[in-house]
Amino acid sequence: MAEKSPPTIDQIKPAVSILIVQPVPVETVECILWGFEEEGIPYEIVETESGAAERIAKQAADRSRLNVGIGLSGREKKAVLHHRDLPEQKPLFTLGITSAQRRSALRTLGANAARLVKGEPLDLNEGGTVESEDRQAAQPPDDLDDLATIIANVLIDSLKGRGNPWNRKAWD
Amino acid sequence: MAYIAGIDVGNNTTEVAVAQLDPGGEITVVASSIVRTVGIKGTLSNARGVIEALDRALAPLGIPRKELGMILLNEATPVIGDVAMETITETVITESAMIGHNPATPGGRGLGVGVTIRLDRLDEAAPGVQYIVIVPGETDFRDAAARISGAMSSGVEIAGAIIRKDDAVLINNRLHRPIPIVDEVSHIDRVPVGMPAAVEVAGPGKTIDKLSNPYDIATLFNLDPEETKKVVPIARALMGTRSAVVIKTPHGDIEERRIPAGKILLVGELRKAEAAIAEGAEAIMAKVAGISPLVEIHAEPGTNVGGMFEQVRKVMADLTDQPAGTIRVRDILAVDTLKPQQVLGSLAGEYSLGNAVGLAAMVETHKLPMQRLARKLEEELMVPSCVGGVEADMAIRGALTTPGTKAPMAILDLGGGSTDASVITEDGKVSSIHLAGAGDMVTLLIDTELGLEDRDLAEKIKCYPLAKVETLFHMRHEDGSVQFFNEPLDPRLFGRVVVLAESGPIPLHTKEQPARIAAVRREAKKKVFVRNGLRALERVAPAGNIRLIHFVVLVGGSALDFEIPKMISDALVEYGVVTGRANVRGTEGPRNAVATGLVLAYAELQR
Repeated sequence: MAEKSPPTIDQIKPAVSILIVQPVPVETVECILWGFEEEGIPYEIVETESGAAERIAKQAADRSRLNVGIGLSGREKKAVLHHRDLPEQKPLFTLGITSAQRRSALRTLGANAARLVKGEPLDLNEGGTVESEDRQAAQPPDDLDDLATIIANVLIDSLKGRGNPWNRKAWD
Repeated sequence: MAYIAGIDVGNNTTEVAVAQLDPGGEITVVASSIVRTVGIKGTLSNARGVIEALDRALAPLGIPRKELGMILLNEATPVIGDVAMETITETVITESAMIGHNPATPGGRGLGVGVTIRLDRLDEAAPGVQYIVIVPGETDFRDAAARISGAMSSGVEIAGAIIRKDDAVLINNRLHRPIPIVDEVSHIDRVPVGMPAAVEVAGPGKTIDKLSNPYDIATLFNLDPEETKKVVPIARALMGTRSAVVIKTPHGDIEERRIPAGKILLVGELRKAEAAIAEGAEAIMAKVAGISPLVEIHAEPGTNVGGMFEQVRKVMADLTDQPAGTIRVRDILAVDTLKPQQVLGSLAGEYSLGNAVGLAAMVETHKLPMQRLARKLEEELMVPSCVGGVEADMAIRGALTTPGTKAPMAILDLGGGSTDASVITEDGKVSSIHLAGAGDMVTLLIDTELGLEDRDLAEKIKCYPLAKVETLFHMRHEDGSVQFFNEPLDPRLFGRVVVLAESGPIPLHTKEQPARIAAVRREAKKKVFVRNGLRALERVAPAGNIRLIHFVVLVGGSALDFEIPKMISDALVEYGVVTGRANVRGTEGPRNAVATGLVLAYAELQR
């Protein structure tokens, strides 16, 4: 495949980014997308090789022009909703994506991502725990691969500088 | 050298001023404190609050209670206020006849008219008839979309849909041809089948225009003039919504009813007048002003307003150990308001605005049993205790310690239960008046008009400004200024209007914009405090002329409010009056006026 230059800012359409580390059941992704569809907010799906759920969620948020991203990790069986302005370790919502997970909860996660963009009140009955509440339960990734990826990514990020500075909202 | 304590037991707070009295009669206030009043003002249970307040004031001085030379209680004004809301109109829709609400995301756009049919009966649809499909809650949206599409392809004419879940956009996106869809209809099972219905959905940011117009409804359903009159409340209730359904039921009956709320009889010194609550607040207050000075107000027994009067009397009777028959209602304040009411027979929790009258009543009796409280304190604390002076006199004495004031001066005591005014002349004569309606009334109005049904929340809305949380890191205050935070805000606050209470932001579960909530709050304060402030000052001013008062000082809890003092100041500026919040002894703000007045009065007697 011929090497393509990365898209410029004008070519990236405004959308919520969803980064997926397979295997994630098609059904799971579909449920989340229904949430976006009902709320009328565009999304883009990008597959990635590896990465912890929080990490890829944060990456998704950072690349989204709407500042909101979802990370779906088939390995960790987790869906994470993130925002560009939040630190990586503090995502907004985390939801298990085992087969036992209710479809309505997945749809709510998608709908909440969309409402985050619209600035509308979130549905907190379903669609993931507020991350701060189960902070204690957070474990370091036991998968050595993931750990290696995290370290590598951190190094890469620190070398090239985090995020797109022109994408960042003015803070004053 | 002796220490004395002045104690003001109020409806809401108990305040203490501790002073040092030297043998020459010179007095210095050395400590003060404030606690919540325990029990109803004037009862023996107040003693607990008094002792707590004393301990708080004495703690920094390191003096034990028994070293106090004297405890002075206020002779509390025997005034008690109560508030009630009387609905005078309500909309009754027997048989479900309309749905009008604002689901966040309705589907499609435009107007569809047809006969209602259940989704699972679509195969029975007749050719050449327009249908409105009803989709129940258990149906998956893909299933619903497939069935509607299928029916459309086989020639069934579908003009719109009413669905239970939040699926309107999802269904609409899966149809060959878009139709207007109203979703989140909670009582979908109550939607009648086989009836003519109209579904209307407006584009984003717009509101419906056909179903909110009675003549358009008449056009759609071929209504005669009589029937058109009856749909007016429906059209009114649907105004401003983004989506709506109107269903014509054969025996459907909608009417705006006037509820018999009762009458009151105003007895003045010279004349009498009768006023019906249903006439509204303006009419009632005009009559009150015409009869003034009022002696007594009676309410028609067996009506709502009669019940309210009974209640106030009973509380006062229990308090003072007097028969309820001897207690008289001395003043009322009536305020017009709008009350959102659940429409009877609604399908999605709709409400319509009914007219209501808020009433505050005030009763006056001979004397609250403060002597009893003084005796109890004397027994418990072994310190001589007595009633040191009349509340109004003491308050004005305390208020006069505000730098920059001098007699003749008036004070406005903006409390919870009543609005009081006193005037002191150059030669020290004090006259005062107590009027019904104060902070509690404002809370009631806010609670009613916003349909909160939560007095505590209404109280918070009254006391604190609002903001809207716009992102996870910033909120926009009601004045338009923006505040950023270093830590992300609670997701529960995101996108919501919040009350900025001292304990932290409290989210409001309402779709109302901050501007509207703030407007309701300000109106409530104006209707009660500005009106009552003027009413009270007119009554105590020399020759009834507010212009003859030069200084007005605001005291009491509501004087601490963030906008009431400005409202009153704005209203009084046309009379050329200097208005401002008291600053008792130059340090206490509008608090502690009575307690301070008590120790000052005592010291004067010693000289």
